[in-house]
Amino acid sequence: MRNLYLPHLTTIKTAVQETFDTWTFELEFQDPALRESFVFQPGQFGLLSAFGAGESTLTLASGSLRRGSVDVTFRKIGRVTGALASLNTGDTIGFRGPYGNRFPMELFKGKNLLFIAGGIGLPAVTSVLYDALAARGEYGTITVLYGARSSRDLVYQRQIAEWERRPDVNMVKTVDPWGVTEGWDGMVGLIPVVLEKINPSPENAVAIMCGPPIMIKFTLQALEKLGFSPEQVYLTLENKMKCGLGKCGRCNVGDLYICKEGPVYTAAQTRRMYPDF
Amino acid sequence: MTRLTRNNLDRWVEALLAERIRVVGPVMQAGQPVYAPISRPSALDFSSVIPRNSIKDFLFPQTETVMLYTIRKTGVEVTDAKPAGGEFPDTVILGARPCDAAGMTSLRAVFTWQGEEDPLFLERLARTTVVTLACVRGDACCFCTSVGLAPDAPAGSDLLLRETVDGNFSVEAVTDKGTHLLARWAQYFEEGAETLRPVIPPPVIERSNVEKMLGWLSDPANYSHEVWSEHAAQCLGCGACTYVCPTCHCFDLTDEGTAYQGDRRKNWDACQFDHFAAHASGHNPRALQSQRWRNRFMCKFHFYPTKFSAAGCVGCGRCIRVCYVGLDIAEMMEKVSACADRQVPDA
Amino acid sequence: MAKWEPKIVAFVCNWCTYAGADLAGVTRTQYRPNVRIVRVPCTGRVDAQFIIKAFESGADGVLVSGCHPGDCHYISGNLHAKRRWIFFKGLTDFLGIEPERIQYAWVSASEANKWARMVDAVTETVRGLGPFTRYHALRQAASEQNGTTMIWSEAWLPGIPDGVPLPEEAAFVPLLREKARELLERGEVKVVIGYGWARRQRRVVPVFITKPDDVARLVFNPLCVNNLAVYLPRKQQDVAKMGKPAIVAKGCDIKTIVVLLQEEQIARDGVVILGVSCSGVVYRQELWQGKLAPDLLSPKCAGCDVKTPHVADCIIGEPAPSAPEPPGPSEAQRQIEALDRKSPAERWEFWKDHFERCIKCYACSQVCPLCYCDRCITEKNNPQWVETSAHPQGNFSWNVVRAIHLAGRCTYCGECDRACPVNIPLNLLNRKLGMVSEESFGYRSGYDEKAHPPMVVFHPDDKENFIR
Repeated sequence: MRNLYLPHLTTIKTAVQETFDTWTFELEFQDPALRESFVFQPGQFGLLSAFGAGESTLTLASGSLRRGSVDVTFRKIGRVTGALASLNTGDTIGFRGPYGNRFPMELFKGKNLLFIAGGIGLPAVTSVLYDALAARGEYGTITVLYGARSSRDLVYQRQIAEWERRPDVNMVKTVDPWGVTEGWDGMVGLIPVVLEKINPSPENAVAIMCGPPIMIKFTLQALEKLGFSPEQVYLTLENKMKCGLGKCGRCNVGDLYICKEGPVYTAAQTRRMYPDF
Repeated sequence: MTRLTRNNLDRWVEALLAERIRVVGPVMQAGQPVYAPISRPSALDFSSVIPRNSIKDFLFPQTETVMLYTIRKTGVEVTDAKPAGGEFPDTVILGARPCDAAGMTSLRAVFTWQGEEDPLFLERLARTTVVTLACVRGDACCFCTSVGLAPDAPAGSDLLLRETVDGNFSVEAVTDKGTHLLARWAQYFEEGAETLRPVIPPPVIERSNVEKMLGWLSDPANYSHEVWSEHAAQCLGCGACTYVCPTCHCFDLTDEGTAYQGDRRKNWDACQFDHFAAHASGHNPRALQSQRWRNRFMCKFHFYPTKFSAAGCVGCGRCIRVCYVGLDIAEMMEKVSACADRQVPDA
Repeated sequence: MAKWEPKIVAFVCNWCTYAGADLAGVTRTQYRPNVRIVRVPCTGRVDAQFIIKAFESGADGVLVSGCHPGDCHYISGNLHAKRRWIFFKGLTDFLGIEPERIQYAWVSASEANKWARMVDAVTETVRGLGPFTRYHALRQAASEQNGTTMIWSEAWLPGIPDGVPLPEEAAFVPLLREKARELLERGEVKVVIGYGWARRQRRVVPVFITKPDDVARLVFNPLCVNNLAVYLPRKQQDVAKMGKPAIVAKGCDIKTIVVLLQEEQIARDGVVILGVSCSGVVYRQELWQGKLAPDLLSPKCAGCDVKTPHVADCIIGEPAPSAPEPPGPSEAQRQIEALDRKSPAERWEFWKDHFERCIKCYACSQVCPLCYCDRCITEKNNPQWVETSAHPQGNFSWNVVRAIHLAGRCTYCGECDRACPVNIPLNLLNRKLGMVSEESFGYRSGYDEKAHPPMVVFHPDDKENFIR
């Protein structure tokens, strides 16, 4: 019987420091067979091991069509992410996964996609974005609303610049009113405020969202005001995880184990959840 | 009817031990009944109502290694952890109580949920034969009859023994594993009619109803009911209830070692502990003890039946016995059932 | 195979000893190479856990050295350290770690020779003792361990057996109930924390009375052993939410409340203390057979001098007569003295056998009123100071840190001991450190809320005889 807790080994192919406390690693499986065969669905996550420190849950941030390597982006905030942050290209990280449910891409086909992300929440939804961009004709308009405390806290700045240049993507970046720095050329304001300004139509649209709880709370209200129904809004939740397999009993929100029965939910589903967060 | 005399039981145990099979049974240690591995049959003591620990200790140990890692300049090696000697020990648990055996069925449901099979538990279980000894009586804390079990419920058992009036046992094979065990050691078992000892099942808790409770617990609106904070103010979050419970399965995965090598451990954990669910950001979704206590109750009487299709509480009563501040899950069952009653609209 | 060489880890302060060691190097002084130096800003930074971690990492001996008293770069850091070392040495000696394996010293920046000679001396002493195999064996046992067998503490019955008469309530119980009713009706308190009978089992449990009509639930009898002060610290948020409490407290519980007041976990006007006279309580309710026999008494009752509460808003009941006690030193004291007379190796075996059984349930910490840290050191994982696994090394580390964090604070309510499911004699550890506190600093915890706890202060005259 396969040991579920035994991680696969990956090598850090490239390491990019996004901000003062976030990094993106491109990971390549050391087992050549796995390099070829590994697939995941957008929205799934992995448990990354910094050996000696432990494991951390990170969403797979690259597109699901890429073969040979996956990207993860993380913020250095605790023991494991701190250890990960000290690693470099060529170092080994353990990987268990892919775990979790997925964004239902088939339901998004033909619709207008509205991505809303705050801070470190952007990597949690980029897998959907990359998949959509790879099959651009199959989707309607694509709007990406992304904000952070200041321009120094924005991740994926290179990609944001690319998306800004694309005529088929409406890239809206914003910083908090107190985070404006010299030379900032994007919008200014908290995400719910900016959302109302850009006034997206709920007609044939889905919203895909991830960010800090406070942003989610007010953005959901703003979306409701704009006419989005809770079934049109998709969230990816997070909770402390250890096993990722629905066994250790830690990540539940009421009766839902986020690792197995999540982390992707519609806002309608989250409204029905037990208030256990 | 197949029967096993007490004498033959002792000889059977000696034969098992001679085959290097680990035999676990109820013994007395420091005046207390506990399940422990034995080295001779005279250590077995079936006189207690229920041992203090549960048999989960032998299938899901307190602390175990899940993998070993070594960090070298050339990379990292990970190895699967196997116990010394290569395999988990062949084990016969002799004298498990029916509630404990049923608890293992529940643990199996968790450790195979959604197709994810935990080999550490399952391989141990595969090498373990559970020989249950049905109860003839309970004590003031037993309530198996209130959660759908009985003093002789066969769930989770491979063989079920029942006490006879002449000090021997009747034997019933419940699973194929049990039948094979009987066949392999046939020389110790015989045919014969026996009168079973009369059984006094524990009284059903008045006013408690597991189905009604499940209905009430399934409504998220009741999650904020004041019954949770009223009842749980005493709880100190010590986790004793979790550790003795046959169906509690929460665990922690943690790395221990140096910068060069170490192991990853799977250790018992408890949702009652303060920082069980706390995020690295500092946010703790269950920051109050009453919220943690509520989670325990919900897990046993809602999550387990609805998610794992298994009993979350087997009515063994250990949590009531060990609770340092006298919290009583049976009392909670009464309270929640009463809440459910109040909410039923008049016909 | 290489000959074994002692590994000594030295925690040295940056300003004095490190400079002294540096001077030794600059002046080409020869000395044993066995020492590995860890530089800290001040010896005041050296925590007991550092020393434990050094042993866990394979050290055979530890050296802790800093500025001479009076010369500390931070004025008084080393004086705090001295206090801490006095407690820690008491603990490590009691646990059976050979005293020569942990050396404390003052070495100034100019004492290069002293440094060199001291390293030589410590190295040779540890060489004579041999490798610290028995500590390192704890780790070896850890990798091989796959589960523990538990020995459970006495009495398994849930409450007093049927047929055994329940104890009589104290004569003052009606007064207690009246007082509680008065406080609640007047709104002076929002909850009365007291003792009451459990509903289903025949045992006394903590109760929280919020309505005046419920005061009839309050009782007081020899089964009232729980230390209710555990519900007062800020960490008990469910209780704090109920509002200002009144608490039914025996003298021993009030000692704990005094420590909580000293440590500002509660304000004096934030709690109404209903002191009750007490002539002794049982250790285990389930063993009650009808009367308070000497062998049933809780260890905390031995030599009790607070039968009439010493700090209270009101005292309920007449001063209680003494409970029947056997003469001579208490059982705990006898056991400690017996252990002190044994060799370090014997003491080590004693504690190792006990700690091996620890299942890391942390009940001892959760039931202790003075373990109120919102995030316990065991929950801090960056770095993971105390290994959480229930193997001998992790158990040892936890029990040491628990004892040292209670040094000079514990009031020996015995709740940790009572709650331990595997019968580890925690009270002996607590009492031993209490004896160190009394002998070395003349301090007894729980009497004077204006006094400073001994680990928080120092006195320039703190006496010791073990620092080189």
